Amino acid sequence: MPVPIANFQLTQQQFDTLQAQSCLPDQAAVQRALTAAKPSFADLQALLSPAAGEFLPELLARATQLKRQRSGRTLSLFAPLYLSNLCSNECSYCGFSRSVAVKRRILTVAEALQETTAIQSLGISQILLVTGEHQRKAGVDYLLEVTQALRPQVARLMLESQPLDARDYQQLRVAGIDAVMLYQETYDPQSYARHHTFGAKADMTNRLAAPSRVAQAGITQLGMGVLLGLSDWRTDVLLLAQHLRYLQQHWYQLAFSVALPRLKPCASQSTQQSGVSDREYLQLLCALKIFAPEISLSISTRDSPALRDLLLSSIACSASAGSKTQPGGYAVSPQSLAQFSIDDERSPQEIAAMLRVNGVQPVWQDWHPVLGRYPA
Amino acid sequence: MLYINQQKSALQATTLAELAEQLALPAQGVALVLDRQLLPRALWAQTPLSTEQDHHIEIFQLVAGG
Amino acid sequence: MLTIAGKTFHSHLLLGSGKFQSALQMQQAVRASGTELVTLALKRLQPGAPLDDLFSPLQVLGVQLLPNTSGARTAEEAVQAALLAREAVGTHWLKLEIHPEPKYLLPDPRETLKAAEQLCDLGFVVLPYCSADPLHCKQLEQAGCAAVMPLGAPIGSNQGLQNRAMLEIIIEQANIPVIIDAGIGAPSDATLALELGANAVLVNTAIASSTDPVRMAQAFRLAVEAGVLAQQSGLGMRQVRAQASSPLEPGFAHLLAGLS
Repeated sequence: MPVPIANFQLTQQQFDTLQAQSCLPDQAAVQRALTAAKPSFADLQALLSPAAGEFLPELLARATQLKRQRSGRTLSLFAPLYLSNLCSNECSYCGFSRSVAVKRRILTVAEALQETTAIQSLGISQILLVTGEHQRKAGVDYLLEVTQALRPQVARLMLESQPLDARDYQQLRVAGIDAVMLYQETYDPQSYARHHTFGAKADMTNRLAAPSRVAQAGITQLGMGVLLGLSDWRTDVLLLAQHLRYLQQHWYQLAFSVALPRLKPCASQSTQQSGVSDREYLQLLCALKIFAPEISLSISTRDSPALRDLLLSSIACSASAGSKTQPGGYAVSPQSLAQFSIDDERSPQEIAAMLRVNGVQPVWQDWHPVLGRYPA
Repeated sequence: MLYINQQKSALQATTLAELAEQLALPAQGVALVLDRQLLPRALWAQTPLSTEQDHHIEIFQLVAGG
Repeated sequence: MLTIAGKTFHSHLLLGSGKFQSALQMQQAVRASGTELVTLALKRLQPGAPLDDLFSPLQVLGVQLLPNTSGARTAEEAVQAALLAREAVGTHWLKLEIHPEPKYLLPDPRETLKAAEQLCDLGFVVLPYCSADPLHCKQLEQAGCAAVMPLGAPIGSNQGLQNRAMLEIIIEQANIPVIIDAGIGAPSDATLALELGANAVLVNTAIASSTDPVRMAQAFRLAVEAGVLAQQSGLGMRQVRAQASSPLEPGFAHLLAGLS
């Protein structure tokens, strides 16, 4: 008999209360958190607090040690493949928002294959399919078609699209999707409402429930995250951690990765900033790693080469490289408008070389479908 | 012939309920299997025992243990 | 309060009824322990042997009877035993135990899971005695068991919580009650089990084989109450020195210095 599913829920009051507490932990609390055998939420709060900002070397050392114990001195490389920038949502921070005047494009299956070939010529065999959120024009039927075409070509296929229902996710799992990425953006209801003003994404409750549907469908790799800068970062990361623990408790087979991009300017929003410094960014990544070493940290090309050198050699488990964030960006149509500007433009081979210099082994694939996971 | 817990018994009864009474089985805590079929107590009174054929009866009782 | 399958109990101590000197002593120990859940076995009647009426004294004490399938070696036997027990005792509650190996009496995980699945489908409230294997416990949970009962150490060994590390993981991951069964040798073991977050403990040998079982039952009652109170009062987590208060690698220190 299946365990009844409840959904992860939160209120504005919960968010505000946690935010009010976020600056309270003192040095002693940080020290305790650094040496706890099984860090609690209170420990995570301490590691995210301003007081912990004075302990960055200690946080980094502990997080690095935990990362290496779990997965060694390795870094997994992947690349995003933007299939479509069609979007029916209005999100204040995004270059593909529906009201933004940008040339809209959705790749045909043949074009997607062309892009895949181009990505593979860079050495990458782990691909993240990305779409805007358009249920009608880039719905599950389209996604299934693309998945089926690309699956035999690549070692790993991940999907970041609009939230789908459990039946859709089941079909995608059978077709060969290994992992689904679903970002909450922010756990602050007021901020969420302010930034998502139109479209299905405006429904925060539905967004919060989406990861549960992925799990129900039997997909065991889930990517989650927040967009730092939409609200108080300390509280958003804390609630992300609570959401992760909730999902772990209900679906014990789930493996998680987390992406925590910082708000950056894009063509339609040239002045937006996250307000999160590099040091704070490093702090929160380390804090999350110390709290939950089993969660894999994923770093995108939004971050600078210097910062990526540090992160990819220490606490990160995976990173994108050589990324193009526009549909057709690798081969089919390289000139079109990107979703966000890339800061680290190094190719996968250059990243691999940097990793080797730093004593880290680049990993190009984990499990290949030839080993029997999917029908041929 | 009645076999009770694998042993021949001289008892004679026309129904299971009658047999239970003859054996002085307690009112609770006992399960009875007749010819490899578990028979709930509610059916004992209406379960006939024929003298024409052998019946194998296993009686299980609640005991301290485990 | 201990809640199993929607039923609440005041006591977090379960008692096994075996190994006592007499039925009377067992009943006295049950009373002294404050338990509300007692496991019992189902055996073939010895024709001619006096019948121990265990039913009424235990009913008077108001305990939930938990027939067990001790003696079963396979899932099939356990299911049969369960059906008999349900008929005999008039309860859907069942302690599932399948231990075909006689030296250590360790539970057979494959047969236990198989039996659990069938018995849950048949409507039993299944409490399985099982290995302290976290994944196995999740599978039992998903099969529909009302609780899991991982062993602290082999039955009768009185060795305490030998499987502590695994038990902690089981407790962390369980969405149903965790009742540590087997191996609890001293009242302090019981207190520790509850401090670790277990919902209850099941004790038999430590009480029945002591010199004064009724007093030992009382000791366990107090030990369990202490553990429950500690759990409710927010026990401070004991700190463990992290292994790497290691210095930061020189390369990182340089990169760190460059950050704003």
